[in-house]
Amino acid sequence: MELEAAKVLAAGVCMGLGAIGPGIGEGVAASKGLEAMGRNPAVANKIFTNMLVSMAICESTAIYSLVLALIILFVL
Amino acid sequence: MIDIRLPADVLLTIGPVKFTNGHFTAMTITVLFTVFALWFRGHIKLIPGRIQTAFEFITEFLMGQLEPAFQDRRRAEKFFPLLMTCLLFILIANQFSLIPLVGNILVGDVHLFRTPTSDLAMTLALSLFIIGLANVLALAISPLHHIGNFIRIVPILKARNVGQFAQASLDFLLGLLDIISEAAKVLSLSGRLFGNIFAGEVMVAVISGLSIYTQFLAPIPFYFLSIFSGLIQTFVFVLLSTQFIGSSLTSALDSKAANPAPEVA
Repeated sequence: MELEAAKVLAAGVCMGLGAIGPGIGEGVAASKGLEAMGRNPAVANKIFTNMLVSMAICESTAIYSLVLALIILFVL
Repeated sequence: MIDIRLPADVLLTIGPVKFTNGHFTAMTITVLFTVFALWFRGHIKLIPGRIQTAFEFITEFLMGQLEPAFQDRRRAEKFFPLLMTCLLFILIANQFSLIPLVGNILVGDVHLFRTPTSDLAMTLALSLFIIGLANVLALAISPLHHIGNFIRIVPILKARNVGQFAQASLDFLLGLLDIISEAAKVLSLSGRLFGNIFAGEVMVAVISGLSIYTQFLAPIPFYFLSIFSGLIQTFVFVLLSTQFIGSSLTSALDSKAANPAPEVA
């Protein structure tokens, strides 16, 4: 396999596999957050900001793979 | 092929310092903000107008987030200007590519403007400052406690039997892992903002570069998506930095209150 083709393939696989986990995690966080908001709408604002922050933390593994994919594509 | 560049383009080189278009845009935004702030200062009224209402809303929102994180209103007010500056700057910087025609100004063959947060150097600088501030503050308030958080040598020395010693050794290794997690905080805080903004721009560029027919209407939903993620990432960045600074500050202050430093005669 040529180097260029290998790079493109590696970036694609890296981003694709790296997006699975955070997708599931963020889905769980959103579903639980919405459930809590539905049960107690009075504290919905507080739950919403906490939910956003926790989803952002879930997202960081996807960000790592994105950074890695960008490094593979553009820097290496 | 679409023109996607990861590093910002160099406009001019002054000695060893490269002045990029990302820097230039960030400076432009800063100058515009300063001018706006000076103008706005004279126009604050008791009965707020539209702009004042918007700013009061943002202020109230941020104070509502800061108070529980710092556990004290006066302490929160001390850190408010820093985090509010971060919020306003990132808020405008994320949406910079929406200003029409400005992105097409060329100097030589280099774009004059570029969304500052789609340059990793900018976000890395911001997050290095935030994490550095959190660590330096905790180190200044109670140095031994803060270093002890990372190098947990005390439980090993206090261990009485094999079981306690094993537990303490595990604790020591976990403490070393915390040093790595501190570096990972910098990486994830900067990479999150950069990745979302850069990915949004690349996505719009890819969609409008697909064919002639997708140039006009097709990118609109993706523009909405990138505006939305830009807003969300602004708040996430500020809320996370609030949490980082707030938690390290309060834990340092608590430890100082629990066992005050011995008086040196």
